[in-house]
Amino acid sequence: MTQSPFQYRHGDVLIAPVAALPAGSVPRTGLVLAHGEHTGHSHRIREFGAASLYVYGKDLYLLVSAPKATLVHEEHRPIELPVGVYRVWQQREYTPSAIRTVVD
Amino acid sequence: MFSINARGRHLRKPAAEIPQAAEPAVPYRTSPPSVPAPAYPLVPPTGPVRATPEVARALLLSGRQPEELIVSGALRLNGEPRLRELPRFLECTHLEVNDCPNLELLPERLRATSVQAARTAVRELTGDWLVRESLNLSGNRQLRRLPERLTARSLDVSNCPLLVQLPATIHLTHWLEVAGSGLTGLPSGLRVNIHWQGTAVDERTAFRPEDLKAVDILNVRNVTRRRVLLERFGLDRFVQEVGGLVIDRDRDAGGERQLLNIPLEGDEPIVALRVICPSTAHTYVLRVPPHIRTCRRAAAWLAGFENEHDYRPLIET
Repeated sequence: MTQSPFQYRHGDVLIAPVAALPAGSVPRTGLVLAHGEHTGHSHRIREFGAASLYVYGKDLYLLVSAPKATLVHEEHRPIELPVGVYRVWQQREYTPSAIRTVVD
Repeated sequence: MFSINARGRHLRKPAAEIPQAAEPAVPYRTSPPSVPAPAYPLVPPTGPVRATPEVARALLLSGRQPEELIVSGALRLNGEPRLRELPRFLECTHLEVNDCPNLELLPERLRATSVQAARTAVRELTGDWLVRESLNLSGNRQLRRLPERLTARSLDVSNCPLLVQLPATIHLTHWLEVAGSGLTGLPSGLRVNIHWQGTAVDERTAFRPEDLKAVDILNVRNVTRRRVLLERFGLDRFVQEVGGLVIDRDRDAGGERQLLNIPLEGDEPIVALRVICPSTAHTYVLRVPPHIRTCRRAAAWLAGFENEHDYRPLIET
């Protein structure tokens, strides 16, 4: 996949626009992009019906169908995402034995 | 009336509700005594059912399981979504029920050489378990309770976050794996080697990492053990206590960020990016591969990019 020209960073969650959903993506219920394992907080879309989530293999995609959707979290300032398709992933961290996903 | 116990719902009619019928005027049985007795017993046989592993497996997956089952070998049922329950009494050589997502009820009396019961739906284990070798209960995210009488050579309860204590009378002879469990200590009478992700640690490292000091970690010669201690201690706190060499600095949306290097004897150095969250103003220390030399490259790597030019955050909050 070609690299996105830019990204959005919402705490440990990263979002980048992509051209389209991969063929064969499967819808995922809810609007939570990532859960905080220890804090109980979550990165989520605020407006119901403005967006939907899809899974393709291990990758997560966000489809914003309204003119804009707001990404919110208890600790981070909101980010407004314009209509479009986005790939969503989480920051990683190095350890000598494995590379891990960072969870708050 | 129903009574509910750990094995689910059972129909029970209380004795007080049983009507005391008067002696019938006419006997129920009017057959002449010459009628031959049936070829099968009127009362079903009691005692355990004995079965080969193949028959036992078919029996358990059909849902028509006996109360007591003795298997003449290993019972392997890994990854079986049909399996919801095991008999109240079970004896076999090896029991393997890993990754059975609907398995909620395990035996109340269990006799086995080894048991592999990781990542099931079990919430409580009760009764009397005797496992001669290893007992693996890792990854049971809902498990809160272990059998009151439990003997095993080794026990793995890693990643059982709701399990906060072990039974007072537990008997283990070799090791106990506790990484990611909810345990905060051992029963007073238990003397066993404690493991954290396979590495032997002391009680302080396992249960009271806040009591450790950075210098304790630096003084540990064994690299594997030192890595475990560092994980238990926390990288943020370690960097705060030890300091580290600033090998690069620049600014992002949160303010100044620094790339730190902390050399470790006999091991690769810790290279970590110290950043300030632009929303919360909290400082975070995140480790990156040791070959990275700039903050920009480190931030790109943390975001999933090998090439720093591919990472161009438009908005960071």
